[in-house]
Amino acid sequence: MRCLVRHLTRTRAGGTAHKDTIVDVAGNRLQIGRGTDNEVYLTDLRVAYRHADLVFRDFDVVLEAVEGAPILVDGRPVDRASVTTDSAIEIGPYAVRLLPPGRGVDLGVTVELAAAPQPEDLDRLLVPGGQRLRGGWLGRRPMGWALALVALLLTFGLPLNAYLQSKPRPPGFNEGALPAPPGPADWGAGLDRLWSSGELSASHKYLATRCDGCHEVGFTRVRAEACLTCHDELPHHFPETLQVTGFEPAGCTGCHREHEGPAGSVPVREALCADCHGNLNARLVEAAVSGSQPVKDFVTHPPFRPTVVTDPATGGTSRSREGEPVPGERSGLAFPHDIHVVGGADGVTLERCLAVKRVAPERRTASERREAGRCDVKGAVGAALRLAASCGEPPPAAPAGRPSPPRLSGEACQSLRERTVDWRADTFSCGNCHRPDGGGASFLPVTMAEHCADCHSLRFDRDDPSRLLPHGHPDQVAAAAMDYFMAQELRRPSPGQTVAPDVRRRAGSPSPQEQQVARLNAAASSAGGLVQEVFTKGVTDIFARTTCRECHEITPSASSTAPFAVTPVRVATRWLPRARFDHAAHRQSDCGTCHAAATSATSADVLLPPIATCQSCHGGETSTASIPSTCTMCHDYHRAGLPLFRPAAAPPS
Amino acid sequence: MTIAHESFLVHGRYRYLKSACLLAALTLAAYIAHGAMRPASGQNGGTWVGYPLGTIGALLIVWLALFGVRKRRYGPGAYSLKGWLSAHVYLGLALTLVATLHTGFQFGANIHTAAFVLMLLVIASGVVGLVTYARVPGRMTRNRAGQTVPAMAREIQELDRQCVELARPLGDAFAALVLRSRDHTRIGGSGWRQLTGRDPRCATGRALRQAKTLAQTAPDDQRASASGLVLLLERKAALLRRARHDLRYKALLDVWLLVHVPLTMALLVALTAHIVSVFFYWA
Repeated sequence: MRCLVRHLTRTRAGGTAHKDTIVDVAGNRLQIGRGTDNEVYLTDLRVAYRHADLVFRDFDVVLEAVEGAPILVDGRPVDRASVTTDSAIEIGPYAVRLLPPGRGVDLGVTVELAAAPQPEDLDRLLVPGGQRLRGGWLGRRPMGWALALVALLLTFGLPLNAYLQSKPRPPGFNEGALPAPPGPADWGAGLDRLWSSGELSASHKYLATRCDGCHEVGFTRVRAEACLTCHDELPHHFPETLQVTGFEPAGCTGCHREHEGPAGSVPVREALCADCHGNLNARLVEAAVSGSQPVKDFVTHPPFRPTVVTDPATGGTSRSREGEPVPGERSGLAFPHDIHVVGGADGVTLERCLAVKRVAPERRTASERREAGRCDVKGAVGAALRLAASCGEPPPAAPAGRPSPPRLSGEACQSLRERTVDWRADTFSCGNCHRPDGGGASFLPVTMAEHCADCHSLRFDRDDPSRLLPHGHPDQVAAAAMDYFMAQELRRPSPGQTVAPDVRRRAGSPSPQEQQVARLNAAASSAGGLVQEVFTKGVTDIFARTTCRECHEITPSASSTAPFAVTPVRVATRWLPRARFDHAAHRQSDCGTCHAAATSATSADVLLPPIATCQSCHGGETSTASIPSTCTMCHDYHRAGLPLFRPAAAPPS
Repeated sequence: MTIAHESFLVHGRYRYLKSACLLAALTLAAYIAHGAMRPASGQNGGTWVGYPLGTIGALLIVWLALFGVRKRRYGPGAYSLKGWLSAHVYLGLALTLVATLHTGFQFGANIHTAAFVLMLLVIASGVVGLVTYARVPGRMTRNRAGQTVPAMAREIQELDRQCVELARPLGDAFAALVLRSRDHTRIGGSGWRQLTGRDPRCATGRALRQAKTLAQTAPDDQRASASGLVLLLERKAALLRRARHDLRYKALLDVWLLVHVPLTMALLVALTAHIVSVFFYWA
């Protein structure tokens, strides 16, 4: 079969040029494809190696695709179709048409590259818009706006909204009524605490959602009046009559800083106090007052100047002067500590002493011998131990002419044995009489009934040891004595009753009534004698009985009921009333470390330690080898008893 | 006369580094001296040292943010842009110390600490940018080896043409992979694609793998063309790698700014709120 293959190309002018090739085909198939052995050789890669066959038959021409290669006939994809000269055949990018028969060939086809070549610009390879990092809506500008708006909302919007919500103030807020905490619906309330510059102190935390509790008006400093809404009973630091230069009552915020954390807004730094007290005389307008010695910290603190009782009758006190030794205290009581106190730390209970002493000396173990040694103490304690040992036992026989040894009642016995509690060790020592009060900072008063009476009883009649004189006003003592002797006398059978009424009396002898009166007068004078004795005489065996004279100051009295008066006993409860001292904080120390009671023979001694004792542990604020102790550890700025703190009226804001 | 390249870090004989060090030293000295006085309120932004430090810090932040304005104002100006950049970097680093000492290390859950944290993030992203600008341009130049990306793309297109030519006598499988390699290869695209610098579904890569496999089983008359095709595809793949690395370096030079600039805007707002609120709720 002879075939004509015509390759058409369009010229730029619009015309066509063609290149003809005559091929002789054995058989009736004209092969179309990319392979070079095809009669119709198409070079484009989009044409398959063997793409299609044109089959020349008797009456028609059929186009057959090879192995599913894509061909389009008149726009429809087909595998096999009968084609004519009118058919538009597309094979890859080529348009193929049949030529009308003739010109000496059996079959003619024209081939034209129909699809334009691919554009050569770079957009297919380089993704447009994908060559620089722009970020789209995550880019710099949109995100800049977005983040700025978010920041505006969080840093301005929410807090401002909360501030506006807090106006007006709830009722009672100006009088210090606690604000109600915000409920779940008020989620925006209190968010102005986002503007807070630091954590509130623990005691002010309940104001965390009410900034206007202190910051009353925007853009103005906190006024002292805001603090005084609640803290309205604070006293001042010095009397108004004292003029101090350079001391502007700047309000509370001069010293008290808030938003510094939960530790609190009470200032502790020494510098705040040392600013004035470092050179107080320079600041005082008038002459130097007492207490204006310069002090910068605890290391340079002047010596203690205790306030002692100088007149127990009136309760008058006086404070020792600078540079002078501490005067003695006149409390009106005679009490030597040294014979009442056991020195030394290791204690042995009274019970233990008694138990050990009951063991025969040669049978005691080593520890029992040690304990027995500690029990053999001198002075009052030894006597008390011996006394307690004799409780409940039959009294030894008394030598002729000597009074029998004293005996204690059963209750007194028990109480003495129980008297063992101290701060830490069970010794007959400070803690037996000085019991800490509720807070532990100070001590309960020592009373006669509770602490002294077991050893110093006020019995007065050897034959009736259970009768005690009242520990009270001399009137009561005199009355009790009178009652006792009178009652004694009236209980005795009257001698006049044994004589028959009709027996005649000898002349000159007293009548029964006269005898009665004489006996009662004798009783009265016994009572008077007893009163005289207890108020004027001491005793030799104080465990047998004690008289008022032994411990008290007795003065003559012109009263008709009692010829004596007892000076009231006034023991100073605080020798340093302008400072705080907490004994509970010092309970690890021995009492004797600071209080020289073991060597004090008179109650006039002021048993305060010198300040050097305190300075052996406590140092200044910056000390690294001592306990850092600032002024406020012991002293208060707002001193009780002074007029209330009212800063100078601030101009209305 | 050619001017040797002077890095912005070295600019002016380290003049701004020296200024920044001086500022840092003065700040530290003031802070330590204040601490030695044991102030009653402790050290924070509201002391007589804290307020000046805060003022200096705020002015610094505003001036640092103005770098974006200077950058867009073309022209010589009183100070060169490189000088501005040098000062921006060194004083921005000194700002870390100034602002931290201004806080007195007093932090909390409030806008003040939030502003401080924002500032730290801005400075941190700036440090990332600094390191990027110190290392990436050199690598970029070496990677380019004198060609721009469009030039590489044109060379790639030329290779595509050669592949097409070489694949004409080869089978349909080769034709298909050459066409896919030519039509579906992409350089660039999404931000992630640019940053990673690789395309795991690159058509050229797949075509290359397929061509290698097919070339081993090609008939003898096609073997030369097949191996030639493989070589061409390998050259194209190498060019693609270089082009994509270039895009990656460009993206690295840009990506830190997506953090640095928006956070600066937020910082400016937070800074204003910080200053206003300090005086709104004044002590």
